[in-house]
Amino acid sequence: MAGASPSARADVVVPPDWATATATVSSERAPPVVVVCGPKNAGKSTFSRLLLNSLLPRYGRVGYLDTDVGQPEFSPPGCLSFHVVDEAFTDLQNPTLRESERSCFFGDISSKRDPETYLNCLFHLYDYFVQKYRSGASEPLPLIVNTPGWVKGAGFDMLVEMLRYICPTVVVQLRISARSKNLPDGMFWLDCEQTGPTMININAPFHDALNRSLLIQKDSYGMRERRLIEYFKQCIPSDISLTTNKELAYALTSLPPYEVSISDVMVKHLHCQVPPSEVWHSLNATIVGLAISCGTTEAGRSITWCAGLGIVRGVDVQKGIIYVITPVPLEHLQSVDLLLQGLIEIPKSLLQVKGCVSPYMPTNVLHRISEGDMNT
Amino acid sequence: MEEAEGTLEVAGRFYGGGGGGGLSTGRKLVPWSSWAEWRLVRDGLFSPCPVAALRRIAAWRSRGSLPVPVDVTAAFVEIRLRDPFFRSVMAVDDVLESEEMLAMLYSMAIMRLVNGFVENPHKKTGYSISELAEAIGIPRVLVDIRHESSHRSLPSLRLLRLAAIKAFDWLKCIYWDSQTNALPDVQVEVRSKLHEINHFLKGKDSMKAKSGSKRKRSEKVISRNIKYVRRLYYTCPSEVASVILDIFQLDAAESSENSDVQTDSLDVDQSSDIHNQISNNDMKTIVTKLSEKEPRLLLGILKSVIETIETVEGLENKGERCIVDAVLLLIEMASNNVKEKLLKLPVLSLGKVARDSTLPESTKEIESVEKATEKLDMFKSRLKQKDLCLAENDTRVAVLPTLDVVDHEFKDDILEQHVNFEPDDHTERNGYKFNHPEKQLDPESIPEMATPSPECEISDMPELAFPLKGRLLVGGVWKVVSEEELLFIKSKMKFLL
Repeated sequence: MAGASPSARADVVVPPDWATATATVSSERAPPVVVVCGPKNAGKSTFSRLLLNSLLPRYGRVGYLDTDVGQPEFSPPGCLSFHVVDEAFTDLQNPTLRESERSCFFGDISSKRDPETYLNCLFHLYDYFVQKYRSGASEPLPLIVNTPGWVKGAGFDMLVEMLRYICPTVVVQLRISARSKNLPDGMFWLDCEQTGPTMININAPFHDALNRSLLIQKDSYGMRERRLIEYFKQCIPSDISLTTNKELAYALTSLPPYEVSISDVMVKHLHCQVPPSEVWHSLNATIVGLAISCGTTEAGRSITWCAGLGIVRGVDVQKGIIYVITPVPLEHLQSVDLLLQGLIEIPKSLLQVKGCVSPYMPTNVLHRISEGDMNT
Repeated sequence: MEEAEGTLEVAGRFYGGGGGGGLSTGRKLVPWSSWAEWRLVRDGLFSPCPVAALRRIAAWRSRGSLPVPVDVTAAFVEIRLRDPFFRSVMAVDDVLESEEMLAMLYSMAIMRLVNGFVENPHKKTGYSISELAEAIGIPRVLVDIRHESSHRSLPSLRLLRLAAIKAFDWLKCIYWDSQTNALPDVQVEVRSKLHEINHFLKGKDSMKAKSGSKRKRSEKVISRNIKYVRRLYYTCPSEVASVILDIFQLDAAESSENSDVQTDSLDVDQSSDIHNQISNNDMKTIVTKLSEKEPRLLLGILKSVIETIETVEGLENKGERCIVDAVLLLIEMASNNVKEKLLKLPVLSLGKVARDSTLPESTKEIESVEKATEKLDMFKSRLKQKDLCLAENDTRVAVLPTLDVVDHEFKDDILEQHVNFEPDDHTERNGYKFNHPEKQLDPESIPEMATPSPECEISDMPELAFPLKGRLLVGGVWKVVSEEELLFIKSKMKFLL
């Protein structure tokens, strides 16, 4: 792979160390629980897809725990989710939207805003997997856990906690040439010499002429927007062809919304404190997680599962009705009793289409200090 | 200042984007739904009782995209509320007695102010923080405090209070005042647009003989201006309504004194035309045209009428008389309009009706019309009693899109109906938290929505036995359209988009 130019990435060539790693993992005696970690843009997601493909033939179904709220594999941004996949990836380089088996709405694109809640979501999903597909299951499933690019600081601390909780059987660590940006060697999350899992170190696949790792260049903001657009496109029947964002914006504005009675749902702001009098001003024209509260666990943590995302189209306070559009099927919506507001923004490209411009997209917005003011 | 030019250019980009001047060239995502809301918050922040404004800013913060100056201004106001030094000015219970903590809060706010404005350009250009701060005029003391409090000891509370006042004033000048000045004066704009419409309308009447191209041009001008007024109405409904009302009143007042002020000035240029009055009759034409495009406008005007009457209560008789005249005229128009609209509003919001091939006149509609008429009668009687309150209170926070193209009135009308007219018959859907007005989406209705796109082949739609077949949503009404008409509309699409 040395010397491969970024443009040559279109055709996937599996580096030898990657092939060895996937072979090792898929020949483990028991179904493995694999955590893939390493710095950002090194190729964790790509490797996870490859690994999933190589586990499928033997197990038929593979669990996938998606923990990267910024760039999720199967879900819209802001969600942690657990999936059971029985179909191989055809595109190893791009994420695809798939319905989750269980999902939590964290509501931000980085876990840093609320590590505790984030880990709670993650642990819940893992517990769910263990309960349903490991302990007592006649054919236990293997699990792949893809992590965000956690290497240092708060992220590192979270990774440690997560590894301690999950106790994986295999940890795959991606490494890049800039040594200081890698995770520590060995079983960094264990205090003393315990019997740990199989450790596999692999290298980022692309290198320049000096054998320095080339990180995958991503426009993460654009990716998130496209993700959300793809997600809300599901509101429109699939036989309608919508090729442009403009068409989608028209279609979404024309969609009859669901009526949700204010008294039937609770509103929870995940990352901001909003005074009760201002809730509707806060919620109008934003993306919300449609959640189902399920009481509390033995550990005292409250669980809310997320049925999907919705856009609040309007609020009629007098009538007590919120208007929501969402691709979530009606039968799932019936149990939704919680609207979670996070910080996931509606893609701007949907808000400024001529003909249906959002009132939150005005003109004449001062966005820098004009020179006239500076002379004063 | 010479050498600062380059710096200035970069430093000016304090929250993203480029473009000339201090205004963004295009649209920007903001957390407020109208400039009226923004003004309300601005006035609140600078008033002796800023609590409500702060609450609203908290809501804005939860939406993301809160501009740095708004965020920091709110921080300063909130800290002041906690500072016993300002207690006399603002009476709040939860004052913070610890000077240390207060100093911490002030320095953090100041630090966030300086960083919020210069951190990005600092990273991009490598100019020092103080150079950049000087270029955009941040008071030097703030830059020093940022340095002191992050690297040395916490500055004294006395100094911090002074600095906070300076920062506050700077923010007011650099953001709040500048943004205020950057907003167009809606009243002036509406007035001039209405006069322009009037000018061309009258031109059209008396110039039937004129060549087609000229007439077309004036029609174009009229519809452009109407669209513009409509857009202004979306952003500042109350202002637009009050201007329209003003014009009505003026004419009523004038005509009661000297009967004829109208000078027909066809060849005089518009600027002088502006000074002329628009007669109530002409206004009626204009308002009719406007409300064809935006049915809510009439109700908006009525609302503002009621507000005006409430405030004018003490005035002498003649003034009131004028308002009442205008109001009666408006009510008449409104009731006609509402009835018409309701009669035309069948298919979409009532999925079941759509499935029956016989279209309108469902009992529900008739009920709604009756309800609306009743409501308006109530209006009338209330007006006469002069015992008025805000009956048609539109508490809806706001709808996401402002729909501009006729073909997309669809959604708006549905909401319109929910908000204003739909009788409360949700009984059949009781027990469901999520109700779909149209239980499942009829794929057939979607192509209709997509029609404005030139790529979409209207004539190639799957033709199924469905009442929407051959109908097109025009101005919020499902009209039967022939093949030729469709082709004609299609050929005109490019102008619409």
